[in-house]
Amino acid sequence: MMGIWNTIHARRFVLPIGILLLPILFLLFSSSAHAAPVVGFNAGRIIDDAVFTNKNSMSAADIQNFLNAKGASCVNGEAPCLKNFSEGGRSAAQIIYDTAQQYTINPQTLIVVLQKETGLVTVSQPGAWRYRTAMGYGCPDTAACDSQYYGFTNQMRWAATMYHAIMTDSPTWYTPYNLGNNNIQWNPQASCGSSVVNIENRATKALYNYTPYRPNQAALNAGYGTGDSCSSYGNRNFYLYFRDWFGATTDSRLLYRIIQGEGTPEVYMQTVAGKYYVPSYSLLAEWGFDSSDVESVTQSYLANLPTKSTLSNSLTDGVGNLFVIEGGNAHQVTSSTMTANWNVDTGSMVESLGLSYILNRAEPLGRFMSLAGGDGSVWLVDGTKRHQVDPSLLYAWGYYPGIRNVVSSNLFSRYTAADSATQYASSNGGSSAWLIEASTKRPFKDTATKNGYVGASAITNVGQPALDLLGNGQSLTRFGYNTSNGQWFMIDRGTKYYISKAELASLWGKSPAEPITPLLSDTLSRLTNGGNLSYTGRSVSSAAYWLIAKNKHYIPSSAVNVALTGSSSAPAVFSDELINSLPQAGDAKDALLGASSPYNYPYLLDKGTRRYPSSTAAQSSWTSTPLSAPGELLSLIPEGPFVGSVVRDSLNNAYFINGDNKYPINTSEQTNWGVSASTPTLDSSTLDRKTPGQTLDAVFTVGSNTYVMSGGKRLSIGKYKDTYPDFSAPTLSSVGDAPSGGDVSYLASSSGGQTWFINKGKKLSLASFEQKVALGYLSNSVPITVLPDSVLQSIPDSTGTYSNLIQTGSSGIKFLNFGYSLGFPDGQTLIAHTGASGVMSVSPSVFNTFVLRGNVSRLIYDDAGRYYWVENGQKRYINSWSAYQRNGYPSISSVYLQGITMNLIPNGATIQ
Amino acid sequence: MQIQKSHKVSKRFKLLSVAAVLIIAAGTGAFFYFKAQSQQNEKNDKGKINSIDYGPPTKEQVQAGEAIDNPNKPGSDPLPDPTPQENGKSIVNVAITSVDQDKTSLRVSSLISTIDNSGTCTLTLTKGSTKVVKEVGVQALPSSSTCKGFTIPVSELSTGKWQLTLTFENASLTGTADQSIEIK
Repeated sequence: MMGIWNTIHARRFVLPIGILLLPILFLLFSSSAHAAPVVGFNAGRIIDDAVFTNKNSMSAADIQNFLNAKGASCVNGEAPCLKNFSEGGRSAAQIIYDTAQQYTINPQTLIVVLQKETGLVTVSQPGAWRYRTAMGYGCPDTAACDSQYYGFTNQMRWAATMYHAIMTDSPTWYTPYNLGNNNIQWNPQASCGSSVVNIENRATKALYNYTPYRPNQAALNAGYGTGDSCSSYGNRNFYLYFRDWFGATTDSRLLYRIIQGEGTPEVYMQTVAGKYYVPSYSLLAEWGFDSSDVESVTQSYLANLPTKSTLSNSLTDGVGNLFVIEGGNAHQVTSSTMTANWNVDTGSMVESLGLSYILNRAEPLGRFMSLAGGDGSVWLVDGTKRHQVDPSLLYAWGYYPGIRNVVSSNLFSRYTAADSATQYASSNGGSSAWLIEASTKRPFKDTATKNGYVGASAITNVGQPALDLLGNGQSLTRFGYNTSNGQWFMIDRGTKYYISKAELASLWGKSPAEPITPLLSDTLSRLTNGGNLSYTGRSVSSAAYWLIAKNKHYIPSSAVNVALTGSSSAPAVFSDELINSLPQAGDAKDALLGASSPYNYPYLLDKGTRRYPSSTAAQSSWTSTPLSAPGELLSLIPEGPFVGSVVRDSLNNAYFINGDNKYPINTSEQTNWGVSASTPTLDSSTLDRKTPGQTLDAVFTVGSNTYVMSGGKRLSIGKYKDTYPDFSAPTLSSVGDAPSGGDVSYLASSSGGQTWFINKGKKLSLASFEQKVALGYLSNSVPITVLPDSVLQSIPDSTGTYSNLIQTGSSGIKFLNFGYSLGFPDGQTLIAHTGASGVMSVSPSVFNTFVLRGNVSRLIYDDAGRYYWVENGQKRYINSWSAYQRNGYPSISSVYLQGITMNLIPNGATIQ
Repeated sequence: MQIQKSHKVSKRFKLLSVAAVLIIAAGTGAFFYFKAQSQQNEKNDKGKINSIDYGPPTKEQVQAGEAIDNPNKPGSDPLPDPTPQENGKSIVNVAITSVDQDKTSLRVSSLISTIDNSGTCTLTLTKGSTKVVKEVGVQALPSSSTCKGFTIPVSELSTGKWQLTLTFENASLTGTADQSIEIK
């Protein structure tokens, strides 16, 4: 490249090119934001009131972010950077925000004043003095400067106090300047002179009260920089910083005022949109204006303004926000539903951005209001107003302390007073309705459920928006539980019935899959208390009593009612809808059979308890087919002791139960029937269900069988029936559950021990042990049956006598011998053995008991080997065989006889 | 060889001039680009209410802040010191800022170049031999003071020209201003 420079031609071009480039480079590399003269500064209207006082422009967080950005390159010095500063526990941003809220000054105003007075927003390594007089607010000589004026918080407060006093035209705050023409100096040096400035608004007046000088042209030409010796900078810099950091200081859209044409009475509110006719000063007062705010304008000016609607109480800021105005406050309306809920007059809205800034922002419209200065009572708003007296109902509708709008009487009176809202609401006359609970609306599963909750209450017809503003809650069924204590209830006829056990819910129709819905205790408290739910019920329009067990069973009599429930009281009354919804099955009975384990047994119902007949016999003696019922029902009926066929009443009378009949047992026979202290006792209501029969003694017949109750057992007169007389015993239908004692024998004894031979319908008293044995006792397993005295007494006494020789009818004769019998080989033998007592005629069953085993002889011998010759019914001891033979007694075969038999043959003379 | 030399020179010369033109063009373009950019920035959103600039401050804005650097005379437009007088109070500037008359009253406002709330303001209205004198106290303001508002019932003043003199005085300071006005 050296070659180029060495060229004379090249050198000739360097200089001109350089000259050409220099200015451009200079311009290029000088400050890109070169001092721009101030444009738009209007000495009489530096900033609009609405902008100056817009305290909602920034949150404390926004302010902190702003200070962080503008102080990004600040490093703490003797004092911290403004972004890091705090005093009294609050950050600078928080102090600025709080001061703005308290004095209704735009925080942006305060930030700009901070910067223009001490540069605190941007300065790095601030000296402590900058915080001492942060807002440039001077301390009068006589005041306690350090404690009252100096310091960041004090400075902020004084500046805001001063601005606020001027914005509110405080009569105790004196100002050098007023609205209209003023002589304003250019500079603190009076020798620089002054000019006349027409101050147009209070905010501009406030600025001049702070720094009372007007920036001259040299100041305006210098942008942020230095002007000339008569320049002042306070108000110029306020304008510049505000414009560059926060946007426009004035906006024609902010215009609002009250005007009146010269010579005519009509008053109008003027905004950027046009003029709104003001119908009364009382309405104007709601907007915060009074007659002293009215400005006079020419008729032609008035005529040229677009005519808008008559002034009402609604405002839009023109950028999508809607407000309702009352008592000088603006309440934002935050949704179209809320607009409808408050019947906001959107047709007569005033459009003004400025008014939305200047009016006090109160809380947005909610759903409740109170009258300002009234008694504090709370009203639900739904296009009407409803005075809610019951606090818990207020909370159900979603109220909690503090969220109501406290409004002027002007707004309050726009709503007609309607009925207090209940906890049931509808918007279409009740055809679809909701339970209102905890600020939600809860639908009902179906119409029947709805009717069940509502009962006789009113369903409040509210505006649809009021319902739309409620959250949606869980659907309701008849079955609910109290969320405070878990108690279950069934709801019907506006009444709550306490469900003590889950099985009851299932009996009343709740399926396992159906959830039990939560209910607040407040909601439940508004339902009538129906007491405990049971498993019986009535309906409104019928007198019938029903057993409720998933189906409904007609209760046919008071006796069954008492059996099922233990009480003769009528069941609770439920709605027709509920009762009709249960399918009808067979009639209820006084006996139930559980359909599922562990209840799948038949039970007798005894005054509200269930009692198991503990044997098939007992079951059959009790009755008729029980009603098949769900296990849930049986689980609810307490179980009592088992029952049998024989029961007692509370007076210790005993009864034998036989189907539908009860047979009283003669008191004297109770022991025979086995009645004791452990015999189950039944309630008279249960026994009353049975038809009384005749009083029983110990004997009864069932079918063709006759039975004797003896010692708690049932003895059958079966095997030896022919020995007994025909007892005229009552005929019953079932034998009962007494244990069987087997057949009655023809040998019977009384409890006193006397033994009888029952034979051919009569009784023969047996005198000796031998006679008993001869008749089969111990020798042939013939028992001696203990019979009740009453039975024995009813058997006539026999007139006969005992004989070892027995005969039945015209049969052959048997000789009894120790449990079996012997025959007679010939007539002579028979005659020999027949004694004074002759032959005993016995019943066939007796005769057949003794099996023949050979024959008897006239020659008999015993265990000891002694021989006897029988004649005339006596036995003659053969003392010597030679005497026997000598006397011509025959030589015949001898027969051994048992000792017992021997003893029963009377002795004759010894053969010697 | 002369022809060769001039050829070489010509080539290099062309290169140089092309480069120069390019630099000029680039520079001019950049200049106008940045100018437009700063103008655009000035217009951008400044017409909108409440549009907050979260960017860093400009050098000018920082310089303006740093220009306030006197701990003894804080604020944007500090007051001059009062003028001492021998054997007397120091003199401060007093200015009549407005005189307004309506049907019922005459109001006179003032600006005093000190920050003080002690002292007396005396307003004297003279017309011929008639003198109306009013006295009020002083209200301190952030960087000045004002007499606590003179409101004179018009009934006390006849129409015509009056001479108006306003005097402020306290333990250490004094000042005065005057003006002639017309009562209607």
